[in-house]
Amino acid sequence: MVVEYNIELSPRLEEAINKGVALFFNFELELARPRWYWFDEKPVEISQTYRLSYHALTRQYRLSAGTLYQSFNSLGEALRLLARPRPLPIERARIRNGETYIASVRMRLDVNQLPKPFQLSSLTNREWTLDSDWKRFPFRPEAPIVNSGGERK
Amino acid sequence: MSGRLRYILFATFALSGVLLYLLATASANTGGFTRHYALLLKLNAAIAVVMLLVIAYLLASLWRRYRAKQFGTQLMARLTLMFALMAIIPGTLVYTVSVQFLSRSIESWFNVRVDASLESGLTLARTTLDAMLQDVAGRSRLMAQELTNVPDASIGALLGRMIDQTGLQEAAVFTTSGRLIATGGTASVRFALDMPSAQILADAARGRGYAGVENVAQSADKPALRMRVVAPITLRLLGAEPRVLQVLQNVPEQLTASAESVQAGYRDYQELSLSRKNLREIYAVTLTLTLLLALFGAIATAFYLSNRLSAPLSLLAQGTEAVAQGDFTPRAEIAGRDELGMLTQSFNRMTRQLDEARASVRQREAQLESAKGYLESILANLTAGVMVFDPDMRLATANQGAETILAFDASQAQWKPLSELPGLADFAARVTDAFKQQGDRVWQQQIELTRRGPREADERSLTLLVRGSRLEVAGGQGYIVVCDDISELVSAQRSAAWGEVAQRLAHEIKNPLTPIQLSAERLQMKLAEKLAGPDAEILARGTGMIVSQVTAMKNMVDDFREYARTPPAALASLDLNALVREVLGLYETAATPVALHLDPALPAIQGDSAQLRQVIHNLLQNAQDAVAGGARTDIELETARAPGGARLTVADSGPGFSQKIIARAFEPYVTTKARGTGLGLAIVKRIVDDHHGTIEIGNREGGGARVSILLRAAA
Repeated sequence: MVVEYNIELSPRLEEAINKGVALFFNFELELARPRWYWFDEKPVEISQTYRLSYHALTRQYRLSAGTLYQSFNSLGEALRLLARPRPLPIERARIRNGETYIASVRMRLDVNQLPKPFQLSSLTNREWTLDSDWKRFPFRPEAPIVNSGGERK
Repeated sequence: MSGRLRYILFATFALSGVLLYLLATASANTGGFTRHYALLLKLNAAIAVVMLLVIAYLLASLWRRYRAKQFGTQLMARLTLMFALMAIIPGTLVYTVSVQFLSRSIESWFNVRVDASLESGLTLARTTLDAMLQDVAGRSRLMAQELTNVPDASIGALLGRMIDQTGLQEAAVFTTSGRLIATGGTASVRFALDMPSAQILADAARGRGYAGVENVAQSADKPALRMRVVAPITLRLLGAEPRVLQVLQNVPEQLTASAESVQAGYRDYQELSLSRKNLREIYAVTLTLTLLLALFGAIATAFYLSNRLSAPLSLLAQGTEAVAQGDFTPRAEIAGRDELGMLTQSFNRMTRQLDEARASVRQREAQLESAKGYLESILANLTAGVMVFDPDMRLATANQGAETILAFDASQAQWKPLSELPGLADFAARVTDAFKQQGDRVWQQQIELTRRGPREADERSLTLLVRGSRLEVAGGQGYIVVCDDISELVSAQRSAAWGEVAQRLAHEIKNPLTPIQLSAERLQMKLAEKLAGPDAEILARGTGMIVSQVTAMKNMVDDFREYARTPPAALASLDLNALVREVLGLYETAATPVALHLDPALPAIQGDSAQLRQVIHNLLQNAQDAVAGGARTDIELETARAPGGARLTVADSGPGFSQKIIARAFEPYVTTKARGTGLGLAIVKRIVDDHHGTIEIGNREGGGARVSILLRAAA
């Protein structure tokens, strides 16, 4: 599935990036099967961490996920790529065809990976938080999994 | 402070200690807790809030106790305040200095020179890299010129040669659409895949080259920089796809490392500079939390300590209150050998002694009470009357004997002058006179007292033996008067005296009587025949007179003897009714008949039948004498049950007893008859006394005398 976000960094975050602070973004996906008798079953909970940093020597922005990385000359390019995170792979074995799941996705800035001084600010200052909140939609796996359309925010 | 609260406090202390340590570690930017810094901060704040609540609760309870004026609260409040101040003042001082010091030192990290030198370092690195890049770019442009119009097939060989000449690492030729034409270089396979981006290719197609340094580090600790130069190859052949030359050259490792370290330093500095306000806040927050936790802990500890110190005092206060209310149960002692422990111990010792003292006082009181009761019962049971007067002769106390003898009610007579009591004015005058005359000496007098009853018939004359003396009492002087009713005694004495006289007289008189009688009879015998006529008659009359008078005198003397020498009664069980009927047989022919009222249910009494017969006889004789010559002649004899025995009553319709006679009726020689010895009632009285009975005399309501005898029932 394709999800596209509109990421706008607050001036403080942009300043932090340009001063060399690395920002971590978590893209998370959850599949939940509602159960009336107990908590919802969550067969799939996966996430991907993106690291966005500025390399002052080469004046390039670098977006990396795991060992993969890509460099950009401008912050806007990097954010554009970040705004369309790669689809997360769902393990087939964990879900059953024909069952209706509630899929939830969200993109947020991982405040806990910020340098400590900024964590304190993130407790009190909205400028330091970036969170898309959960987006939920029903999901019904068919035999071959196809991208089930996009969602815009 | 309750035990549970104490445990809560201890747990909170321990928890806050651990959390503070973790927070401090996290603040120091070294440990693994950095990621959980926010969580730690929140936990510490929560602990602080918990402690604040606990302290608020403690304060509220202290205030409540203070309002209730519970003893020891003031001391506890003062101790708490002192302990708390001891912690708060130094704590606040250290805190203020620390915060000031911290912010100053953090600010001092940042200054223009450091900023400028780091900036210069970065610029230096960039410039070096740029110079290297320019060098590579220049050589690349030369290569690109040489490759102009070279057919595709020979490009590969040419590239290899050029690389060897220029000392470059990697070169490749692409079409502008990204198709690889040829490569050459040391690590051709690896680099070949590293295509220039579409943007660069597009620029190259329009004749613009590209030169840049790229960060190709796979991880942060292995920095790697690479120069990429893309140069368009001029084509003379029209229509052919334009070609571009890409040269890749790794920046030497040492330079990369140096440049990276310069950049890292710059970045860290920038980061710190950006976050210095936050950094200050972090330390300030950590310090503040530490201060708050320490202060709250100190205040709570102050509560605990002051409570421990003032608890024994509260205990003592409760003990004192209990003692004031008379509760001497021992209090719990504070264990410990310090002064407080000793204080409670000695307090308990004191209460124990008080308890013992009180018990002994109570015992003594009880003893006194019983002694007093003993004395009072003795006084009450005394037949003698005892009266105590104050100096003004007002009655203070009187015993039951006095009430009986003087016929007054002590409860109403108290604190009244003796002279105001009914019928006692004469008595009072005599007593007062006696005290006046005798002064401080003890005096004794015999006082005659006429006691009037509600009826005239009840009037009695009493003979009292009165003794008086001054009494020294605590409240001053008083008088004590003891009186004995000696009426009976006097009467008995009189009877005894009369008995003596009677016996003497009888003896002395009887002796000459027989010779007188015999002499008179002899005169009669001898001279009767010798005289004649009137002389003989005179003789006969004279001797007859002598004989009859002597006989009468003999009878009288016998009466006296009988009175004096009544033998002791031989008591036996006796039917009084049968005895009465037997005696009445003698009076069948009497002038006045006797009306009998006998109680058939009369109990057997104890008595001497001969003497009782005499009693009945005497009483009936008296009655016959009394009614003789009267207008109404009426004699009644009645027997009836009475408490403790039987009552025999003889009543007549004669003149009755006069007041004077009633008082002395039982004394010998007191009579109303013209010819009586006055011994009848005296003998009756004597016999009744021997039978342990009582006798009452009085007048009937319709007129006439009435004598009633109470005899005891047989055992």
